[in-house]
Amino acid sequence: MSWHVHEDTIEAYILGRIDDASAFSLEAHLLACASCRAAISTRVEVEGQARIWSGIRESIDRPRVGMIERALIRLGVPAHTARLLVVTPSLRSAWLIGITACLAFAAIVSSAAGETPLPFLMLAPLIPLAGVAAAFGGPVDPAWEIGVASPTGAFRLMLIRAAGVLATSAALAGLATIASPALGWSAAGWLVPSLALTVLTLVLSTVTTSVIHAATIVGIGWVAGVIVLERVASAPLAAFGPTAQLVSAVVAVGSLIALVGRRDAFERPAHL
Amino acid sequence: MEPWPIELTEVSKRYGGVRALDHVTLSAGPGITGLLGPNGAGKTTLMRIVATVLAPDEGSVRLLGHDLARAHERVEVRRRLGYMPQEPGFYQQFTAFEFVDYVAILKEMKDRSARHDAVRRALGAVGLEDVAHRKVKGLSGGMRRRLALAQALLGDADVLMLDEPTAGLDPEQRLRFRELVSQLPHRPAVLLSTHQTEDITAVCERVIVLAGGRIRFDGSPAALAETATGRVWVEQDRNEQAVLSWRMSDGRHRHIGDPPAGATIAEANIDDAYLLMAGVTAQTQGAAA
Repeated sequence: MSWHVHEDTIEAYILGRIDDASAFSLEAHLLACASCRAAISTRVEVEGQARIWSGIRESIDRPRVGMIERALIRLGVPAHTARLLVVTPSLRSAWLIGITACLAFAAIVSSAAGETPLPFLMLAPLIPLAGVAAAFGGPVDPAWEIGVASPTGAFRLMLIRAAGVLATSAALAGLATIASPALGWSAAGWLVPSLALTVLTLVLSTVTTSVIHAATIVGIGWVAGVIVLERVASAPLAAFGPTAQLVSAVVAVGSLIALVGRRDAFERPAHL
Repeated sequence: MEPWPIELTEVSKRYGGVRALDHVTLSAGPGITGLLGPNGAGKTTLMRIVATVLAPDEGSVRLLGHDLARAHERVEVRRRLGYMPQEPGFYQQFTAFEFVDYVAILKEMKDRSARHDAVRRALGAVGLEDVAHRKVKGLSGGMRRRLALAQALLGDADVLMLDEPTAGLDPEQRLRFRELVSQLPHRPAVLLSTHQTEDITAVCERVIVLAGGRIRFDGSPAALAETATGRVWVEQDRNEQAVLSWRMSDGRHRHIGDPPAGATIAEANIDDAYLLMAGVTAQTQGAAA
């Protein structure tokens, strides 16, 4: 090598006060010139170098953030909690599209019937129920066992995912209610029963073989209960009237208390 | 006196009419303890109970001095526990890096930069750094096994529960695993469940043989091999009196059981002892000694 980098250029490079073209030229020269490499390496700050490498590694390794995860972070969900949520099967795009289609169908049928929003009201609470059933547990979550053995634990993981599913399902069902004025405001009557059924399912899952099993029992019970009430009650939509709303609220609160009491059954189940 | 990192007292577990564990009492300290036993011996049930994911029907389990029956103590244990299940599942949409990062989040590593450093170290330890950004669905079976091991190694756990970690690994990967697990710098208490007697001989300071939900042997691998001393012999032809016999590569037959008078007694190894202990009665042909 017949020439070497000038002292001032080395100084400017180290301090980052050099234009890109000159930096590229200098770096090309360094590849071929051991003398200039030696001259520059002794003067580069070691900690600074480590910082740069760490930054490069971070930008390469940074996990990809999908649309739903980005939306959750924008809504204020901490990034690490959002990551725990995005693996929830019932928070993935295909599931959300599916429940949107179900709700739209129920809203159209109810509007077309022209009398009561019963089909919509009966279906809406089942949406979060199905979502929670598909949110956690051995059959639906491949890494569930690893999650149970972690300090986060099954109970916290279940609460995080159930809250995510409930909020998403409620938002979609709420949008369907607003988007179908023909349903009227009585169509909002699904909200409290929905909460009651979901928490009841979680409690029941501590004594059944899986959450899916518990959700199936509760779901069938709900549909049967609504149909029977509709037939025997004097007024329409008895399952969504003030008395029924109060009963649902009591069931929701009672189930919530029972759920906290059964925490250990999630944390260290008798069967996996 | 320091408590044993792993202590089980009279632990039993039943699935319906089947008793998976029957009053098991054991303690294990730092170093590698091998858990050997046939299918259905209760190994995975024992591993799950110690890994805090399954409750025993009876008995007590203490890890690192904490009682697992108490919720807050269990969380403390989980912070210092690494667990590789027998059938680890993965989120297929994640890359190897993202999966271990997810487990690191579960392990409450909230600082992103420190967490990612820990993930890199764990992937590097199992030799997966070159495929860190490949999706899990694109990894081979052996790579997935190593990925499961990587997540267990996160955070320098004080207790490591490894359930069949070498299943599906090729010979070179198995050697690498042995090298890795035997050289963990902070010397955790490792409980290693396996079918592979070679793994026990290679890395375990102590071996526990489990059969029918009970402990049949607890001692060093050499002491296990000694239990078959005088009960292994070689003959040209197969002897029907043997508990088990097989044809060796030189054409002769190796037998285990009660040798007939005048038999040529052979040196017993850990395989012979394990097979005798597990009460194997089926005849196996064609396996090389």
